[in-house]
Amino acid sequence: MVSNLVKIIKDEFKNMILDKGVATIMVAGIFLYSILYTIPYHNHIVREVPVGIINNDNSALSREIVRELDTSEYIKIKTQPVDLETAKKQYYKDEIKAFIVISKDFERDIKRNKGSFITAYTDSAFLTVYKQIATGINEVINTKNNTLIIGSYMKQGMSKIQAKNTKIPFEFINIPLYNPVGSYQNYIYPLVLIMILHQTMLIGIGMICGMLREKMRGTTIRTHKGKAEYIKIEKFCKFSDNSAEIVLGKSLAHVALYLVYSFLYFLIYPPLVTYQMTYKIISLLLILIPFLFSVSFLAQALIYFYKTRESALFIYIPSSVPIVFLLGFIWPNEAINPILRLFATCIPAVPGADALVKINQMGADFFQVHNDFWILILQCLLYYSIACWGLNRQIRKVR
Amino acid sequence: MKGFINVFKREFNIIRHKPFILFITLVYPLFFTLIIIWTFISGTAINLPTAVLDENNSDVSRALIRTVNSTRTVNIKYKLSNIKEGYDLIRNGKIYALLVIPRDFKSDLNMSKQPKIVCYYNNQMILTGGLISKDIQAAISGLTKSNINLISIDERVKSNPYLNYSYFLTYAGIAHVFQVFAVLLSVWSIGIEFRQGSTKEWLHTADNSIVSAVFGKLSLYFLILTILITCSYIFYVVFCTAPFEGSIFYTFIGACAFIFAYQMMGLLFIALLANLRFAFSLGSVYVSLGFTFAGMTYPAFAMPLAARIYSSFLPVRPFVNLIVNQALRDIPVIYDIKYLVWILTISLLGVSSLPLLKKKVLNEELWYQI
Repeated sequence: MVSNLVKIIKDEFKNMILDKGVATIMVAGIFLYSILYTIPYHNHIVREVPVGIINNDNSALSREIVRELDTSEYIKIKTQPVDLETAKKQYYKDEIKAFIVISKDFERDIKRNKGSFITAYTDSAFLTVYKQIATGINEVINTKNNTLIIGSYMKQGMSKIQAKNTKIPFEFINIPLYNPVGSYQNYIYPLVLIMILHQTMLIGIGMICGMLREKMRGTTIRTHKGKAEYIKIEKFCKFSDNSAEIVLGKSLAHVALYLVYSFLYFLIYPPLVTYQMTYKIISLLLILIPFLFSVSFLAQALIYFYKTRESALFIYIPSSVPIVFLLGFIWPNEAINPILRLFATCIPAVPGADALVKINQMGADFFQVHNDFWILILQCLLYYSIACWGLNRQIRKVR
Repeated sequence: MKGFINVFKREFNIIRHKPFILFITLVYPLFFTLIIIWTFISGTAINLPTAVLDENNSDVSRALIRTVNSTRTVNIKYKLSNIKEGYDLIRNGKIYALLVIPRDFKSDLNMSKQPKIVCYYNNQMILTGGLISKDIQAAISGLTKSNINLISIDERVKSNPYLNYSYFLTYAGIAHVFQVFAVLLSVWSIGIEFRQGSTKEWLHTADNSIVSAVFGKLSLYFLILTILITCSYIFYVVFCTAPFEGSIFYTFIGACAFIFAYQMMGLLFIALLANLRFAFSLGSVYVSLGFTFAGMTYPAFAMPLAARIYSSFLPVRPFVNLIVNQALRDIPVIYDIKYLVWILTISLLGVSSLPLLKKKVLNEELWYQI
């Protein structure tokens, strides 16, 4: 039993590393994807969104506001169009993402204590960009308001402290946790790494199974020497007919290889790629191991669908983005339909990413994510049974 | 033309007997489209669980909590007695934000001592955290009596006034699903001829014209995918009442160009590599990076130069611009023509690889490779 298992593990390692097609995914892909994904978020946050400003007042105060808006880290005054039509055209051409209008007599109205306004034409289709513009404008105008009003109170005879307390009776402090600067690298990259582990493992295993099934049916393959040869194998696994043993042996090989990758991703990458990590190794392992087993068993459970070597690519590549949406980080779980949530819970990446991000980025302990752990254990049991049953059918078919 | 029709018929007969490919072409794209629509169907995120630690417990602090609770995004689910509970709740994802009102809030307020209200929020989830903290801040600053401001901001949101991010994500998500299928199917349908050693027979069916051979084959998938993507968007707009302001016709042309451009990229990969497996791997890298690099979660203009260059070779970037402009921004078509030109320019890359493919099609040594 044990000697068989060792042979199966060795054989599966060969499949993963020596088969060029599989190695492209399960070895090269691991490095390639993780390195490529560091590029887009390299700047961490969206700064200096280009906006236009129409200054109809052209007073000292209005020019001051233009200057202050321009120095805000969120936005950059890229153009100063003369009228609304020009501004609109620039917006249509995508030269600016929004535009601001300062009304005529702006300064005069303020000086007479009448109050005035600026008009911000924004575009919220793309929320990430909108958020920066809105924050930038709000910050600048709020600060300006406070100085103006405190100044006018002081003119009425209040002391500076009195004036400040009247304008701002209490302070409101927003404290962002876990990702203080709002870095997109911190936000997306950990999810991307988990998805790379998940997807490459599913595809790789699918390719191995697909190839074996193709060979069982008989297929022509060009060998290393360049000769086309007809190959037909009799057995799915050379060393055993016991599906429980085969599935377990294969998955041990997958998990061993992917644990190495996980160490790379979660222990070595963080300082290199600069993303946040808490290094709670024990909690991490307690989630990582059932997660990787669950992925391996799931991949093997779907053996029926891998008719050919390429089938797995067709099955899994389109699923990446929809799965990312369901992880609960892009879109809050509370806003996702409960039935769809239940469906999503069957995907190992969903409880996996939830627990791993909470441990790795938010500093949760194992007992705070034990729900996810039990879901992963249930998945393991379920997919292991299906994988054994499915493989049995494949083995029987040949006999 | 006869060759074109013969290849078209031949391709139809090939996939007719392949239930797996039929499933991948006809059902699978719709499955993922529906999943994406379903994910975002609720629109804006509302009633996100929040906790409050009210150490003051006065009429003033309670009024403040009521105001916060009445905002759309916030649902005060927990009233806590110590801060540690709050940290734990945030950490295990039970709440997104924690509002802390200090013990002497009311008396400090009366004595003009400027007490501090603190709102901790989970910024690991940037979008959700940002939304909730912004709303809490707005609700609270609206409370201050002396909130007379000299300068007010009159905000006119030109598109999507409800700040509903789901529209953008759904429109972009559907485009992403179809780019994957356009590339993979085009790589597969040509690559399988190399894998099975039938390239010569295929070319022969096309009367030895590589143009008829390729376009006869790809036009079948082009037809299917354009019909499916059109139906997907129509379904989203009509049955899910998503906004669509602009030109339907122009968007349709854009969608056709989009599918075509990705098919041409698939053609380019297989012409370069003449190996089903390699081309498949290259195609998968290309499409999987697509969503991120095209700037769906983080805008392309904020990326480093290398990423921007790469993203300009992704038809999904101009296409999402085009469809979002037409659907949500109501931008006149004339300003969107550049996106169509952009998409078609990318597709020229694939078209120009046809002579190369012809050479490889005639080379029997490239058969049966795995």
